[in-house]
Amino acid sequence: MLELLAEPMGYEFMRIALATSITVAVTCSILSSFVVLRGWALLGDAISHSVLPGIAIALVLEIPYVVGALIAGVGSSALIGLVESRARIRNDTAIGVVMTGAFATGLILLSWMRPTVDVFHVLFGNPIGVSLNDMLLSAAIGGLVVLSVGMLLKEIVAYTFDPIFSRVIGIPTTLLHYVLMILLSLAIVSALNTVGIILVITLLVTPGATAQIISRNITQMIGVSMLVGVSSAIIGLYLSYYFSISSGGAIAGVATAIFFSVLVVKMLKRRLGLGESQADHG
Amino acid sequence: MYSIELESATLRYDEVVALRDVTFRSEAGKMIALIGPNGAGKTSILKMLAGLVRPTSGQVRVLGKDPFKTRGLVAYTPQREEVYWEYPLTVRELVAMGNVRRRGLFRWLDSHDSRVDAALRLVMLEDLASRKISELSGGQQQRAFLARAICQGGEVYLLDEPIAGLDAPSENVLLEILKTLRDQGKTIVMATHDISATLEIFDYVALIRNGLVAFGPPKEVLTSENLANTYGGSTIALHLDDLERVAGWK
Repeated sequence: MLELLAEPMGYEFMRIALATSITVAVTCSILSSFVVLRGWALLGDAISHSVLPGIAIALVLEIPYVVGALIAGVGSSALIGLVESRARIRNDTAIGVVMTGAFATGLILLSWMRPTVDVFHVLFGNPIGVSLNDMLLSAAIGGLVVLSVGMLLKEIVAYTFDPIFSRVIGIPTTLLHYVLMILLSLAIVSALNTVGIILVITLLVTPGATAQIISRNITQMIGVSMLVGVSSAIIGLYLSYYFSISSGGAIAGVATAIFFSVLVVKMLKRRLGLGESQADHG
Repeated sequence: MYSIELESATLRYDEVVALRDVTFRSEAGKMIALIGPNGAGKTSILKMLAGLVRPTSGQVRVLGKDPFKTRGLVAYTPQREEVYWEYPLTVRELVAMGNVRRRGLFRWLDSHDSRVDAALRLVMLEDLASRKISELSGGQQQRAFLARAICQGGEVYLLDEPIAGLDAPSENVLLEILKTLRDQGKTIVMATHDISATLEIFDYVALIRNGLVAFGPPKEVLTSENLANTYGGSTIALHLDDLERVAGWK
């Protein structure tokens, strides 16, 4: 057993892949709790898709792809808000329009430029191709997310629970909203190499969703979410090594499997009357 | 000095006039009910008082100031449906949110603060303090919201439809707490689409239908003519609780 675990770690690329995947999982699953509680799953999906044209434009302008991805991510969240209020359409419709439009723009740009970047890797991740620089970037982003959430936790909780109250009591909610959008965009950029921009939404939704099933308070929820995210990253990466399957797919697949296992256990417990005694809702 | 003051306040959203030329004022230590059908502009008045929107023309003042400069002194309680009650918070944590601006960065909500205890006591939720908020009844959720406002320590309380969907006993408990706050000198502004006998306890009633139909003490304002002008329709029976349904507004 120990040998099975140790063998892949004999390769440097696997050590880097594992370290990066764990960092990314921590980054995404901290934010995941708020994505789930505020109902931002689809918004997160839109931001991640919008990152594609950002990368393409960054390649054209020869600026760091992080910068392009960040501007595109935050820009798309602002554009969604604008479309929603000006066109007076529902939020999910605005997201659908902006998300597919941005993704199409990215595909057009990339197919026209024929860059050296492998589009498949951007879309679905390639952790074993992660460079040392990518790893350091993920670590820096992770540090920033942990620090920001730690610093603003009560403000973020107040805002994601009750935005109107938060604004009236004097929390700068517009600023806080965009700080969260920037953190989300950064988390997506950091996940580019490990799970890719299509599957990153799994890490931004599923750990939080799993944690919500079993948590009583928000700090517990963030902890459980991180545990789910990190376990998925580790197990997924090993599965991909031994079975030669897509690592992004394996990581996302493990997270999904954990979610359904927890849900089934919770349902069984309730059916058998083992769940905590809860008062009737209503 | 008036506690709240609207002077010819008009609010437009693009081409739509939500409120036209609303003027009324109240001194501190009063309870004011904003009454009117859904979409009549009650929430718009609350939002102007809360400093969430500016009137397109006219003036709104709270505690003698621009509402955008009264942060912390005004407590706003949105409609219950506006928040996600499955959010993993205990009652105590929700109430402690009222303290959020008193604590510095990197610090979590202090839910064992004496203000939190006092607020919980006032709304009679001490026994449920460690419950999850999703496990509360509608009336208890509303009282928890109110406790958060009390913990905040505001002078003006703006409540959007706090009694909607509550049964009579829960409604009475809530109104009793509001009376206590009024007696402490707080100003209470409550929006409601229900007309019931309990409105008698309010000092002023403002009938709203995209503008001000009438304003004054309930006995003078709640006439069948005024109510007909507010809700539409020609004859309206006061004893019917849910006028909206009867008048075909829903």
